[in-house]
Amino acid sequence: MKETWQVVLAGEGGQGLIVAGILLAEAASLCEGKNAAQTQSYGIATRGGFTKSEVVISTEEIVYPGVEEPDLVLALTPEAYELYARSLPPEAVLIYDTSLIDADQMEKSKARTFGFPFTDTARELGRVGVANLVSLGAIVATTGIVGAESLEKTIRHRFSGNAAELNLNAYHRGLALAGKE
Amino acid sequence: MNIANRSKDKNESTVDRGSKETRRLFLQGNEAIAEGAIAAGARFYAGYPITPSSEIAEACAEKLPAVGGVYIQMEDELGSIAAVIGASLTGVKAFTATSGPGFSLMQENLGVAILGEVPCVVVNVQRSGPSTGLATRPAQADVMQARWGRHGDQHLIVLSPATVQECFDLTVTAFNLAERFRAPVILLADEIVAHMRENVTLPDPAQIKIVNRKKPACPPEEYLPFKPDPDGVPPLADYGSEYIFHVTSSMHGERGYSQNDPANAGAKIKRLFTKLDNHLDEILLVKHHYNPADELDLLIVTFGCTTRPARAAALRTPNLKAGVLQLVTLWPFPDAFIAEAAQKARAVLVPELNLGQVIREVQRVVGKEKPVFGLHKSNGLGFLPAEISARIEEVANQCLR
Repeated sequence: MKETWQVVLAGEGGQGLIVAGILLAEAASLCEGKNAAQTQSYGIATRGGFTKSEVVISTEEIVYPGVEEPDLVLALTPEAYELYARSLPPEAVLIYDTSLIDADQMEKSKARTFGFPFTDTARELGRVGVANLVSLGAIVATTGIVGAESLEKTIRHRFSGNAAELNLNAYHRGLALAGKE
Repeated sequence: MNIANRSKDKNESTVDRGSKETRRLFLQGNEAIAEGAIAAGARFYAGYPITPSSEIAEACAEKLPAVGGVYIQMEDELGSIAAVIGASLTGVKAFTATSGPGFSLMQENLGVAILGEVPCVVVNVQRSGPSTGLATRPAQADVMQARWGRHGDQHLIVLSPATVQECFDLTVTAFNLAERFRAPVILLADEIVAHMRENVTLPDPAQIKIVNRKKPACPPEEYLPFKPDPDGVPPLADYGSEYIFHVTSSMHGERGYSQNDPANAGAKIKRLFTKLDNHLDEILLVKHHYNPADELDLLIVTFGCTTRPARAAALRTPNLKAGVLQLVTLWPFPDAFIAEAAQKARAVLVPELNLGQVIREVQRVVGKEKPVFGLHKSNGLGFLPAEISARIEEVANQCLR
């Protein structure tokens, strides 16, 4: 099992990247007893503008809480894809949204690259805004960064009623997209 | 046992506040500050939300009423600190939170709290300025403003957290020091630590050391609200109780009424300093992120958000022994700790997210005995460990090899 994960969730304001980062870190911290730190960088607008959420998960003390060399990147916009695709090493994982990013038009990454239709799947579920939860499902299924049950528990803890149902649905669709369930 | 200790013991309590065990939570720095305030006994918050401190207001709006406290959103920051002063004088632990632009607006009434000796806590989550600046970006450029932002000779305590756990712990400490010394305490956080989320352990409330202000032991007719005990701190009665007294922003005597003679003014202003400076052992907090007995090649002096990238960098200097001394108390400045640590080092490095504030103080303390280098950044971004490593390499090439 990998001891430390440095994760970047990148896209634009309004895509729920910060919530996704919090859910991932909470699952590691509260359900799996690991250390986790979540940081973010965003602009003054609530919609649009480059936004990223960073998560470090480790069995050791997290000295520096930010990401220095990401080993897992989620890209939800072409800008985010471009920013990370080039610099990622071969052992890193790049997961991107095929609904919004035409990877054939972009530089090929050396990283292990996986594309899924996150936004289209979210649209099918009736809410584009849950593309973040679809993404989380695919991340968990692809990498095993946290247990699928840990994240499910975290979603149930953080949301209630219709929101919980919608988000869990989106999460399960994401797991299925990446071949789990 | 002297009087200071006796009164301190009497005012420390471990009140039962419900929950009986430690809690592991995943919290944002701002949420941990609100939790710390409530754990310290704060029951009044008045503020005007501003990025990157707004989550403190949000958490207080939700949590304070649930513990019988009061949350008020004020019309602006001038009103916020004024309401905090009024609430504190009624005997309630009170605080506010803001960022640079709001902190500037609070300076005048913060002076009132200093002269009126009103215990209170002001959280300043620093963001990049000047003025509105980069509202969502970090900085550490309010170090000097926190100390010198008001006119007149005055003194206060400033603490700075580097982790979410410290956001909780130091907020409790801030209230304890405010109550202990009848003085405002500034918690000088920054956007990085305030918006960061980490796992924290909130102690069993029964195990948290809580300090409450000294109350008068004399009958109401004999009470002198500004007559200090031998420790320099006057007991404080509650507004609304049978103790009737006057608090003014004008120079005043022991009774609290305007008094303008030079002997009184000189003694009062001096006491605002000595009541803190005579008790530095209770106020000054630092963390040695190395064995303080060790000789170092390079001492790295940090505070707040520079601490962790500096620690990461210090771990990556195989040919050089570097150690991080984290200043938890920024004001009064921890001269003695820095002098002692610098003596065991060949050079000193001060990284800070401003163009040179704490380095001036470090240079004052260290003098010409050891070279002091800076690493300064003021563009709205925090330090990466690699930037500090690069500066360590430069310093090493200049004077350590």
